[in-house]
Amino acid sequence: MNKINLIVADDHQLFRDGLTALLNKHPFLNVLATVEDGLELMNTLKKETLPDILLLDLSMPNMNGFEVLKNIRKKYKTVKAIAISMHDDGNYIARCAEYGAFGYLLKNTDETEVIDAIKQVYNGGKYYNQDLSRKMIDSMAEVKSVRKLTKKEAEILEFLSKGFTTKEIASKLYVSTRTVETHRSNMLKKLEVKNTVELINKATTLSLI
Amino acid sequence: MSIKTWIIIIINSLLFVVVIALSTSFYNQFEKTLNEKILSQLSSIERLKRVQIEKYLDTEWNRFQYNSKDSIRDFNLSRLQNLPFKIKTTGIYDFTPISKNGNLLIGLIKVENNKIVSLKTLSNKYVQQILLERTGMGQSGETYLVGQDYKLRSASRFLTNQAPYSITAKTKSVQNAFQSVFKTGIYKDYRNVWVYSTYNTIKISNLHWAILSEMDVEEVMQPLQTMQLKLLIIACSILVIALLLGNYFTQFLSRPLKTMETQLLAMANGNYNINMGKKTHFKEINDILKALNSLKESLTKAISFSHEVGEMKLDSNYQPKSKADVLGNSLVKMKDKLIEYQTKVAQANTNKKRILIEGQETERKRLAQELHDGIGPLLTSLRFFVENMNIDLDEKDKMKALIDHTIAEIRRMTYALMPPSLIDFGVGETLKTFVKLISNTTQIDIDFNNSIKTKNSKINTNIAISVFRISQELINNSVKHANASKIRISITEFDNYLSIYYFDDGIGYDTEKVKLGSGILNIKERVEILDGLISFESEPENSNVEIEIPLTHE
Repeated sequence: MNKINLIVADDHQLFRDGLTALLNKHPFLNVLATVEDGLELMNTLKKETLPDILLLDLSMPNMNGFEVLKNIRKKYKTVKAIAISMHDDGNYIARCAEYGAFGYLLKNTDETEVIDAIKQVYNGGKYYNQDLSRKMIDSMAEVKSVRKLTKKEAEILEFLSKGFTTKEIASKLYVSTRTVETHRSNMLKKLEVKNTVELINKATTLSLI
Repeated sequence: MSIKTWIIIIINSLLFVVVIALSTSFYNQFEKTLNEKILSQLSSIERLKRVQIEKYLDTEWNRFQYNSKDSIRDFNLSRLQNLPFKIKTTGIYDFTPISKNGNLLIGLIKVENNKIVSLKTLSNKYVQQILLERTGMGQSGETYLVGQDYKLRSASRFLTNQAPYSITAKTKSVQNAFQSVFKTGIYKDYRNVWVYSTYNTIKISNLHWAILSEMDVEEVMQPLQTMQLKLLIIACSILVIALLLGNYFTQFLSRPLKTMETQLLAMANGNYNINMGKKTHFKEINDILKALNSLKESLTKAISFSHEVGEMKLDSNYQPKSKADVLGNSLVKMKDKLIEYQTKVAQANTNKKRILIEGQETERKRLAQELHDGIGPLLTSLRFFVENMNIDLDEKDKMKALIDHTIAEIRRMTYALMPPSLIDFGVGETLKTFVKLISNTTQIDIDFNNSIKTKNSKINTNIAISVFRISQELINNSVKHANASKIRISITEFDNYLSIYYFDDGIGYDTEKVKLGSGILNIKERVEILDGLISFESEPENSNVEIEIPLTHE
């Protein structure tokens, strides 16, 4: 079995050292380098052997984890990054997944789990534990509307076509009347029409309703 | 001098002059007419008597000439010696000087060859009868005869006890008569009493008398005096009436003036709540009242305006009457200055709050980062250290659990201070996570509609922090106090503003009182420092908060 080559990127020396020590206990793991920020990582990647796995902290000076993820996806497709972060907020996890991280670990994760994650990712899988997966899903962005109108605008248009008043729409959608008014006038602008009647006609033509 | 007195004096003086002039001229005219009337009447009476006497004497004389044979017998001729004149020719003679009782005695004498051949005396009887006939002569009128010796020939009505011949009447009228100066008028008579007097002379044969018809001035003047009194009474009445009427009518002028004075004084003393007098009959006074009213109104307006300015109600409006309206313009200027001042103070206040809140947030952020990025890694390093220790596994697990607990606490504190995702992902994502947390940990049906732009959002960190804090505060209120089972949050980003709409179906709150609650106060302050607008509406099962934050900057 080949040794799995790793690079650890974290701005805290103690953490880097601790993690490195932990990894080095395992004979099949080989920490190629430790870097303290994204910029240093990029320089290292340019010069040295590419690692199999990158253990990447998100909050780093100079270049943070997200930037690094974007860069790696472009330039070093073979390097599989696992985020290792203090953040347990779903947004961070979702963003990492979005930017192409293969796994997400909390910094206080047990040694066994870290090793499991590295193994799983090295073997072509992704590693997000159950708890994190749930958090990530909670934070996932909704499917973006491909329509010309936003979701809210489409809703308002639907109500307008049914003959509801601004006030009624506002109370149904839990928005202020001014919000409804603004949405309506934005729609008029977007569809280049002058009034609500024209708006509904054009929307029908465009099959927006 | 008051207008009233002045007018009354003027009117009454004029009236007095007119009344006096009228009365005097009327009186004089009357007097003149009366005089003429009296004198003309007296004159005709005198003429009538004269004619009667002349006719009587003529008749007697004629009878004497034809029938005078023995008349001489009963008369003692020697008595003729006592006459003041000598009888030489035939004729009528005045024998009164030798009359025994002093009454009129007329002698008719016929002389032939220097010898009295016939003589007859006529007593006063008939003449006196003529003279005593006093029709049209009033109480004091009389007609009498006076001889050239100024002795009365006929009896006096007044001095009945005296013989006529003993009464001397050397008066002006008698003298005039004998000097043939006929000028009727008012003279003194033999009694030294003023009388209307007409006179003439009777000349028959040797008789030469003055005949006078006279009437007392006093009697004639009686009606004149009555009239004088009446005129006086009328004049006085007119004056009194004029005084009363003047007094009555001038009050129409003086009363409104007096009222105006009182009101002006009241205004001068600062009381503008006065009722300007009612309309009068006079245009000028009405005009003044109108002018006063408009003065009062403009003053009242200025005052109420200054009052409102004093109460710092700076939205009240005032239109100065003109450029010359110094008071109004000063007030408006004052108001503008106050508004300027207030705006400055408000700006300063808002700035202060902004600095305070931003400072607070900066500090929270710093603290959160220190905790999360400083202590967090230290703890994780410690955890590695423990993991690498060759100690009892149970002990190791206990220590790791303790460290994990501490890390969890650090995360909780970090989140409470400043959710890291707020900086890294913005308010929409952070709020979504927060709402999910609420949804997972409570029974509340909570939904967050995030319509924040994913590209080119104008929401900066300050706004993001405020919006998150506001939403957090509102959700906490709904969860902790409102007993809500449904919460809806909608945040929509438009080109120029951000709209936050918050709804819950909780028990509701008093929108007046709740404003004092520190949570709501914080929300309001945050909206204020972002130049935003906020409005609360609440009733049971339907409370909502609307917030708009302008996105003009950046």
